[in-house]
Amino acid sequence: MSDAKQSEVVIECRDMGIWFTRGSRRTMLRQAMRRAFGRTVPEDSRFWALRHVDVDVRAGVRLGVCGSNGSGKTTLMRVLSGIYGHDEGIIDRREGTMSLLSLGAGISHHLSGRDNIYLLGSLNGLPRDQITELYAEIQDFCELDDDVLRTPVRYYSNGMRTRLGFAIVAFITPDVLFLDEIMAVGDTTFRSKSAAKLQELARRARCVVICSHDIGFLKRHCDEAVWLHEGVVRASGDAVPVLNEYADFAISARQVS
Amino acid sequence: MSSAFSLPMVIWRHRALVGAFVWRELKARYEGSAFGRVWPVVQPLILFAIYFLIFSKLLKIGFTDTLAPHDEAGKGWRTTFYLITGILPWTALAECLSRGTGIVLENANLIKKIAFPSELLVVAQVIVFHVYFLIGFAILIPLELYVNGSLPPELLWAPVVLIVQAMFICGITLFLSAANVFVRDIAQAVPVLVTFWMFTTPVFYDLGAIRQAAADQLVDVQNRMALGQKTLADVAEAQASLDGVELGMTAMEYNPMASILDLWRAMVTYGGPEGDMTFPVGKLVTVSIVSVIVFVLGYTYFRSCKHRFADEV
Repeated sequence: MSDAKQSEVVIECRDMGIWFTRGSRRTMLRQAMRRAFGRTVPEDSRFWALRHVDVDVRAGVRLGVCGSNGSGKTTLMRVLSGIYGHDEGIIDRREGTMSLLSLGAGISHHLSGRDNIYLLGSLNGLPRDQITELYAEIQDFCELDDDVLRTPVRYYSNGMRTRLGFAIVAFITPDVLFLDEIMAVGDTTFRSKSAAKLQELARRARCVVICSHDIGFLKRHCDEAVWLHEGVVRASGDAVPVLNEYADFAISARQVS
Repeated sequence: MSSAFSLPMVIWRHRALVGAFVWRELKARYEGSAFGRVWPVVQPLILFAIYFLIFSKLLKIGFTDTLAPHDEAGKGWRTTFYLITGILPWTALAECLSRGTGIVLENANLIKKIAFPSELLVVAQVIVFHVYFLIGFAILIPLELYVNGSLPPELLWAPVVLIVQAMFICGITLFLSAANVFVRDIAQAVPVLVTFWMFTTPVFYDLGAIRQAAADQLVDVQNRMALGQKTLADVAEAQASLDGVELGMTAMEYNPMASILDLWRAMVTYGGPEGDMTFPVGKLVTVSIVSVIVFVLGYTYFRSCKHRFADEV
């Protein structure tokens, strides 16, 4: 573990904070204008989803993120992967591509399966010729034949759509891979196939950030962990002690209630 | 400020994504339609026929064709060239603005889930409508060959004017699509404003011809006053309407879209004022500067608030 500590930092996040607006939005023109033209929203209608967060994502490390509902896990994943901007502090992304896997995100229903492979591949930063190279493999993986891939996705069954969605993301190889409660999908065969694919994907990525409620899963797969509680980091460091601490907390919280 | 000019680099780096967005838009438009890819050609032709009938044949606003008296071959053709070079750029602007304003909101599911440069959604939109523009513009080439037997050398300015126009449209659309995320009333207001802008831009009418008609009218009234058929009040009235047209022409100097239309018109036969064809380089320089400013402001605004999109959409 000490080796990992020395290894190069890929994403450095210092004293990071992000706020959202509380209450009903867009009801008053003045407030809307304020959001559109100055970013200052009155302090009392802000709510800090994350604040004073320090996280390092290091090369070769699998980082687990745990915490109860509403603690800011998903927000952290989105901020680190660049979907959300942050309002405070510094996030330094050293290099490489980031991808937050989310199944079925961005599938266009009027496009054919083939066109979707190209669209989603390029949305995730794959160059066109690389998608062409991977095409046969993707098709093979999702078990859809040429005729199906020429059909607009809106005529697909749910299962076909899920398989297509999974197959596309499964072949993206980002430097940093974010997994938000991912999940094997499909029927029994496809489920084991997709689980295996995820493992392979995680092995290929330089670093992986996984967020999950499943402490056992995180213990098995992560080297380091961050415990978020109400938007702040409650503990971070080597996976097992942090996860144990969180597990104790979760049990005691349940007993109190 | 330098970062506002980084868009070409962003486009180049993500060219596969831009291509995929453009493709998606084209597919979405014609999917399931029997004539599919013929529509981009047929649509401007039909539109043109309608406008030609209404504005030139029914309403007869300023299209007397007396403006090309020095060239007999031009008789009957000026209206055609003038309308085509007005309708095509205008359609590009109007479609980009009305389709582009909502583009960020429409792609909420992408913006919430995938990190990608969202300005490319707008860029793809601008490209799509300029592809249509070029398809429509291509109609002019056989027309020129038929009427004149050759292509005017001024057409070589087309790529420059195309870029200036695209930058201008892109700047406005970037601003509107970003602001619309926060103030959604913008999407409601844009169609109204675009219509207003259309009628205050010489798309279907020719201010030069209208001014000529007003001036002729004034001379006529003055002559008839000398014969005692008209009073001083009639002269004053004719003078006032001429002044009004001239005021309108001055106001057009401040409408960049009017200048862009003038540039296109100066490229085609009988399109320019009085049917002449001296390309107004000075006007091109002014419009270019305005377009760069509009683009930089629009893109700077877009960049300044795009990190809030994922939360707001």
